[in-house]
Amino acid sequence: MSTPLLEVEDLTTTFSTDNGDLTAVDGVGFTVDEGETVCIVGESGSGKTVATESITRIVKEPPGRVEGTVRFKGSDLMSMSDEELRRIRGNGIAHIFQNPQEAMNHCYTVGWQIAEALQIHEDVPDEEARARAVDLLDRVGIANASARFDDYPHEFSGGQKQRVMIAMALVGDPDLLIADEPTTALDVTVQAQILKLLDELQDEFDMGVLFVTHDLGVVAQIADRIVVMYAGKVMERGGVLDIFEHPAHPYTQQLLNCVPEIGGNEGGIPGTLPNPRDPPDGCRFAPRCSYAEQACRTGEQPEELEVSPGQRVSCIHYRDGRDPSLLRENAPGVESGSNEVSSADD
Amino acid sequence: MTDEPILSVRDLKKHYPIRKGIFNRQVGAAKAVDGIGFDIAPGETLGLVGESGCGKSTAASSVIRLEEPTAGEVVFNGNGRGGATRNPDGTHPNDVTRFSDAELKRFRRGAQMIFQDPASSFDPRMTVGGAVAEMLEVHGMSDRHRRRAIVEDLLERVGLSATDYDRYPHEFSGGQKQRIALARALVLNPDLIIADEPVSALDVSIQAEILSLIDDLQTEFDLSLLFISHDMSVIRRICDRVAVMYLGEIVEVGPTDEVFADPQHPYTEALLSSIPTPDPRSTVGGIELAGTVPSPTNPPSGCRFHTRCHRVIQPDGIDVDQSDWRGILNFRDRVAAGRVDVESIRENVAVDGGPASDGEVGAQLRTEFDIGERIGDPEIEDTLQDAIDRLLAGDDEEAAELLSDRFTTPCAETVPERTVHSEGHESSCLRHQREQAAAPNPADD
Repeated sequence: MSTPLLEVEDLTTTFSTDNGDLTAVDGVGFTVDEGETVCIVGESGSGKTVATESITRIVKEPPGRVEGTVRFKGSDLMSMSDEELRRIRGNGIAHIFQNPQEAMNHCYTVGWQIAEALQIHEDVPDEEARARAVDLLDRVGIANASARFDDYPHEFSGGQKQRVMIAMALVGDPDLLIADEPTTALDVTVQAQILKLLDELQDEFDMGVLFVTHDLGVVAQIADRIVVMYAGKVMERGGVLDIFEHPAHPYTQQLLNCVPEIGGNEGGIPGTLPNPRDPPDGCRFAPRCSYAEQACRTGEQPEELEVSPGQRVSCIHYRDGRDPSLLRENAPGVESGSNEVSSADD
Repeated sequence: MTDEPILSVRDLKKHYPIRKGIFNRQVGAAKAVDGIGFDIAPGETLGLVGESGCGKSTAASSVIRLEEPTAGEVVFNGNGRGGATRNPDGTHPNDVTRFSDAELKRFRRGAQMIFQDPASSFDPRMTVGGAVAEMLEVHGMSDRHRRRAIVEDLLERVGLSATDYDRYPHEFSGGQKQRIALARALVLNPDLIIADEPVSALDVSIQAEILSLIDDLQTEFDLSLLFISHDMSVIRRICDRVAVMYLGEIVEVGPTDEVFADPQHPYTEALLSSIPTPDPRSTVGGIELAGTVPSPTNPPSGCRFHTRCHRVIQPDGIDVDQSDWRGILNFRDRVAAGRVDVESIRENVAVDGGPASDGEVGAQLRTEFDIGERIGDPEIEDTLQDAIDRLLAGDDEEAAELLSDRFTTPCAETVPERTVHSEGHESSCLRHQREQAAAPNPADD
């Protein structure tokens, strides 16, 4: 077995605030292989964004404090100097964000901004930087790229700005692209265009993609593997088919049930996310979980157990000697809904 | 109750003037809403769906007169106003657009609005109870204790507790704030609520909660709803009927199930097919819409969707593959706009040494516009190739002229009328209009 492109183990990010420490990400672990797409899903406040920003340590330190292990192509990012880390950012790992407006400078042309990013990473003359920036704009589907080089960000639509952001991310030919809700602010028709573009570029540049989203429809379409986060912890992770068809953790089941096309749960998940300054003992989801028992509410978050090859779940009901079948009662998946689709496909 | 609609909108327009120069001369208008019409029956939920910039929010604020509509009629029959007949001069006594200030204030008791961002729709220095009770005070309830009792009761009915009365907005989560917004909308006991993207800022799990609350309250208070959203799955869950907007116009309206199962307008079809399905086994063959929504200042002639439509009609005498046809039209428009950069294509094609031949550049152009290598119809093929040759020779204008002379579509010339597909399901597409004109008895199917 080759080493994964990205290995995250026991990643913990704490922010010190006036009201005490706040642990946004608490002992998170997952991997991304070369060329694969891993989706992190979870509600707002689950720590998914902070987790991805902790990987390249673009989280502000202080007030943040990142601990744990992050290995990129085998080398440990946590022990790197700022100088070494800067070389990884952009060249090895690139980021795109939800809101392209805020990630660009309004006072410079988009072409200039791409060329600048290029010249930071490589010593190339202006002429060549311009040519390559035009080429990148063209590759992300900006029509008439050489003329649009000199346009300012406000002259682009939301979808086009996201294309420009993608072009900027591709400057260093990264091996891993971290995309944080890149399509959430866009309309469905534009979202479809951007997802298609990302898919094409992933093949072309042979990138691994770590995609953060709360939209399970998007996840189903693009993910190879899924990491389900809740209140700073990983509840479950596994292949896309396993998670959608045999979700093991009660939280994953309830989350999927909230999707109109899958579940019949019209009422949502009762309760709210726990206070991150004072998380509950035991499983973080226990206060909202209908299967929770006394053992769920004591100690630490349950250890991860492998329920099927590659699918790991953090829930005591899957421990040896226990019968997890009662959790399947209300579970979405092949049994309840998508029978037609899957049989037609096989 | 009669079966007259609670809200009846006809030919509503909202144009924003564009002014220029020292005399502020009006040089044009952004036609945000351009002649829309719909009815909402008592107790019914009508969804208004479309992409950003299509005018759905402007439509909502014009209906409730947060903005003055440019033209049109909005007849509101709720709150005891029903049963009125038209004045002799053809105007309607219940026409919101003609209300005086006093009537408008009374109207706002009967029609309330909820906004997308619950954080910015509350005064941070006012307790939430105070914010809800203020509505009662403005509308003349002077008894402080009674106001408090009503609001406390209402807070409980939207799933909060009476003790929340004295808390401030920042103490609540987004979903809770939206519950308070619902309480505020309900406190005057309206007949109609206009909800502008009320759940778009919330997480899926909270969304589901709020939607089912809206559903319950609707039954409890016998409300009619105009529900605006860009999210088709939300619309599907809550609406009885749905109206699809594109560039200031309603292109299709019908019962929600029917529109989702059998969309008639190509835009609805494209919109529905771009929703990612939450099933990892399905591989979507989504219809890809080219380009972006045109500017409402200068909307396309004929059917406004024809510049992006995948089903754009071929004129008599042309019969080519539909995707080639779309490609040819895109090519025509881009050449006409002078936005085909032959030189950069030539540079890109020329990889190893020597300059690219015209043939190679031409082939690249065809790939870029998704036009096949050879069009079946030799006459079309000749015209197209002729235009490409001229373009490569630098004769941009001649190429543009040739293309726009030969390749036209009826969609650009005729404004489509409404065609009825079944009870209450209508769309505005020239294809259906033609089909129905050809069929002897369209009403029977």
